[in-house]
Amino acid sequence: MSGRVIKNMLTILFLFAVMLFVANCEQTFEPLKENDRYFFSIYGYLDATADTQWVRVMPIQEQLYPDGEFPEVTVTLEHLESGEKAVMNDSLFYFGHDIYARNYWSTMPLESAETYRLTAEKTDGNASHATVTLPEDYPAPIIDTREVVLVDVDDGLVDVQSIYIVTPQNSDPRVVSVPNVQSTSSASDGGYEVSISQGTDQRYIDRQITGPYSFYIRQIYVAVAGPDWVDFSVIDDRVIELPDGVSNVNSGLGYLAGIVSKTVPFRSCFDDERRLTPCPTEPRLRNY
Amino acid sequence: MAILFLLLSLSFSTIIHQAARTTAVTDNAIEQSSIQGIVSDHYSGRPLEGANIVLHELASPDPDRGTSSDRNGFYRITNIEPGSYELVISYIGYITHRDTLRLEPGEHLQKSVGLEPDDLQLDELIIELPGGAARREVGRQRVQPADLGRVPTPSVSGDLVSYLQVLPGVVATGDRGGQLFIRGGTPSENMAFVDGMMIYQPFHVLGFFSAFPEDLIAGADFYAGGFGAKYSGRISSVLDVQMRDGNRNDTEASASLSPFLGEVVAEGPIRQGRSSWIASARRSLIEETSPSFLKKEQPLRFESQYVKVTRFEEDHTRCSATAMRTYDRGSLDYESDYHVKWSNYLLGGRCLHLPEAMDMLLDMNVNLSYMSNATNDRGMDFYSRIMRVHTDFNITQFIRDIRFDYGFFVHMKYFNYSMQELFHAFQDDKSSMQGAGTYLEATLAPGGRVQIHPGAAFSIYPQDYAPSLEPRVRATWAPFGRETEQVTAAMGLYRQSLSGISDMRDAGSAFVAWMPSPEGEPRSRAIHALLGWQQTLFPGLQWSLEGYYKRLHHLPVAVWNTTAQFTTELSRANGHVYGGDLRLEYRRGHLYMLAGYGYTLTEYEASQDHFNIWFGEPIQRYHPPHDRRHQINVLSSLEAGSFTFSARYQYGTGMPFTRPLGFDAIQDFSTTLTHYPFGAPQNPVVELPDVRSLYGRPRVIMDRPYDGRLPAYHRLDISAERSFRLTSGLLRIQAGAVNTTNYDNFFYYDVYTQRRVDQISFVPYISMKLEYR
Repeated sequence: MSGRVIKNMLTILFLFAVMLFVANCEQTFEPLKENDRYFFSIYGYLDATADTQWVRVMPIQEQLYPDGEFPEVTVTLEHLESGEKAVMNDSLFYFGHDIYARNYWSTMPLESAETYRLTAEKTDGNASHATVTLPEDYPAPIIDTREVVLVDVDDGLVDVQSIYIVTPQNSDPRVVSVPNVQSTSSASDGGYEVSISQGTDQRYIDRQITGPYSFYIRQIYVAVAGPDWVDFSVIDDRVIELPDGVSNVNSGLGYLAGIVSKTVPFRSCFDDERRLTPCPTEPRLRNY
Repeated sequence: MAILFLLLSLSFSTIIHQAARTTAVTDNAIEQSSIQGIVSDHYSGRPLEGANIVLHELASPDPDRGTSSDRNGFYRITNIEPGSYELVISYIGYITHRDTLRLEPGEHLQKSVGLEPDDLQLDELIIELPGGAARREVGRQRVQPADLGRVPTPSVSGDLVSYLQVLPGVVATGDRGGQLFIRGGTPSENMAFVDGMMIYQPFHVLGFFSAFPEDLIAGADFYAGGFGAKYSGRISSVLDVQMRDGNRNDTEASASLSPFLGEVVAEGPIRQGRSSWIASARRSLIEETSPSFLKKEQPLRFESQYVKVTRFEEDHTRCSATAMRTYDRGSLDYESDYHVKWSNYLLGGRCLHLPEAMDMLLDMNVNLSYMSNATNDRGMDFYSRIMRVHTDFNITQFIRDIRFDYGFFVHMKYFNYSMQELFHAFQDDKSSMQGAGTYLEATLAPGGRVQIHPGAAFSIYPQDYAPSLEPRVRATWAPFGRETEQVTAAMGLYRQSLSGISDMRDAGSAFVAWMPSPEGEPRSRAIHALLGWQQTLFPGLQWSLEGYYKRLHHLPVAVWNTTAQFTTELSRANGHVYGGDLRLEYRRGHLYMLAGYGYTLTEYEASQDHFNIWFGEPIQRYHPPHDRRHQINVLSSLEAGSFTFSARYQYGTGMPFTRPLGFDAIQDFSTTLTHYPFGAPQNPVVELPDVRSLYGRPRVIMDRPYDGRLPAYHRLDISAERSFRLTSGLLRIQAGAVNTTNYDNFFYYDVYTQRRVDQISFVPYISMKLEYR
């Protein structure tokens, strides 16, 4: 090789070496933004008629799907009027696909029309809390002879479900709850009327059950929410998804509702004078 | 509609032709003549762009008349006084053609010439060809096959996509995915042609390779912006590739092999000297070789097949038929199940004709382009298919000294896409779009120092959009009267009727759904303005500086929401891009060096209904994920005897990504079961969520978009090649390395799983190529 070629090669090597020296500095990389705004995600509802309250309380995660490793958290349910407190118990739930979540439960009795505060606190003192007022109690719903459910409340009816026992062919019976809140209308003398159409409900069940099955309607479940209920049905989905779109959790995310629910058998009950009357409430059937 | 445009264009043609005839009559009145023809390589028939044509009047002291040939090798000199002339046609690396002519009054002589290669000059040819990376002709950069060979590529031959990534302003998101962002434009805003056929995704999934290897291309015109009226339908850039014709005299073949790629090319005459064929087949090998030589599987595969048949006419015009297929499949995140695949099918015919009886050059194309594109992501399947049937006529004609380029096109596009989107309704659609258009561009050279190319493109999609008139102008000015020192400028309006939707929230996604811009919404629009200076400091050393500004309107962007994963829900953004390219190029003897610095700032401005609630203000300004602000590229190549050494260094500042605050699962109080991908209960509770049976909907807790930046990127690739002459050919052996410094470059960061996906680490390779002649 000629001296000129060697000189050219040395020039190139020098230039590359300088560039590598300048550029080859390690840089820090922070994938997550520092989060001092939201500590917990709290979802669920408190139900004055339930024996046990179940609420999802999760620290804000550093990855999309939690792996089951959760930090130590203290969750407290407090009756604001009396100051009575209960520390809620944690329970790990598995949802398949290596996805876990932690729910908290308490058997502390709740009273309708009372206000409760749920507080979730980490060991470093960072805490989120949600305050919710339960609705007034109301009479159990009546199922009239037209298969119309009559709910005697002025407002706040948020959920109506007809609960079926469905028995697929060659399988065990199971419970299927069919939403019916969309069939609700205001009754002429106050309250709500919900028309139950088993034909319509069957189309819903068809989507849940594969193959032939037999079914019958067993219960009616209704829920009335408290005064701070947000009517989600009129809010844009994207707004609901926003961190602060709809939330009653301070220093956190989520929504905690307060309800009073009633579950009655799907039949008409009459008093001694053959007038329609609420049937006695009973525990709601579930598949757990 | 097609008939309407045919009539319109014929009217165009008639007007210009009539004007030309009138001019000819006027010329005849004063007995002036003209000469035109095509300059090509005598051996291969390849048109020679930039050949010098000089007409020297014998026995006259008048200065010589001259011009240079265009991309088709076409030249024309008008307003010639009758008399005797010496015609001199020269081109570097070829024996100069000299001819004595006698032009009669009013004669319009056709003189096409095939230049003989000059073996004595061949060694210098590669380095001394006109053009170069620092030399642009009003926005157009001419890329020669030799340019590609200088870039270290893990295969013996170079590739166009590797070369393009050396240029400032061209940004690749990484070494896989086949996505190029040019001066702030997104891949779907780039237009690419192969011999006049549109190709929707020309770059392979492995970022070193494309459908345009060095062995197959005759050249390419690359416009990073400010392109002329001939090109309409995209708002960012144009890559117009001309593929090489097969050898019409001898049969040749080559085969190459590297750990990344295997390739076979063969060519030869069909009828000696009159027609030829060339065929190529390439297939990636990295999927098979990576477990052993990289110790890590690289699930990337691509292949392409190409065949071209050309018939050469005696007047140096030609017709060709071309077919091409490409296929790509890969997982951009090697550890995930997600994969993307795409295919291109192209079929077309092209004729370049210089009719004896007409003073015009005709370029005619009929072709079909089809692309299918599919991906899966966490069990969701998407696909998008587009087919385009197209024909165009392009005419070059002179009226006195003014050159007119004009033409028209008619095409039909068919779309078919299906998106099964997480948390949203299933979408699929079939539609078609008819379009037609015409263009006119003139080339004026008032005073000799200034050359202006005013023009306009006009297109109409009668069932979809209002007619579009897009005025454009390009210009050069040689203030000192020397071609080596030029000011260049371009400005124009550009519209795009197709939307290429990709979820740019996720840089790991190479899936693009092609669909018409939504009905009732305006097309994407851009205004480009370029101003540059280029200068040859001394023979071999040239530099250029070009600044640009693009104003962007109605860009389709994915809606900004908290839902994890791909969305085809669209919002519209406006934006602007500005920046500058600085290039310094040395080409002398056996040494080549190119250093480039690019600065680009891309900013979008989007408005969505809920931004006010989310951010407290209705409009968000952000830098999209391809906003690489600074870029440095250095390329060098040195020939030393039978050795060739090449090195390429790239540096780029980090690209934006969104830094989430964290993640949670949202429980829905108002919607239906289908929104829950996991934990759906056997008995759906749809109004009040039961946290014991529902996991909820995964949510990314995001603040402002793209407020973080990935670390800077840099990579050094090197190669050394040695050639061995064999009895009947040449053996080339190359050794090299990709990412020689083994720097951990991000490909992208998966914010959902907190996992970084890196580009290829240090990869040494040896490749070889056997050429049979």
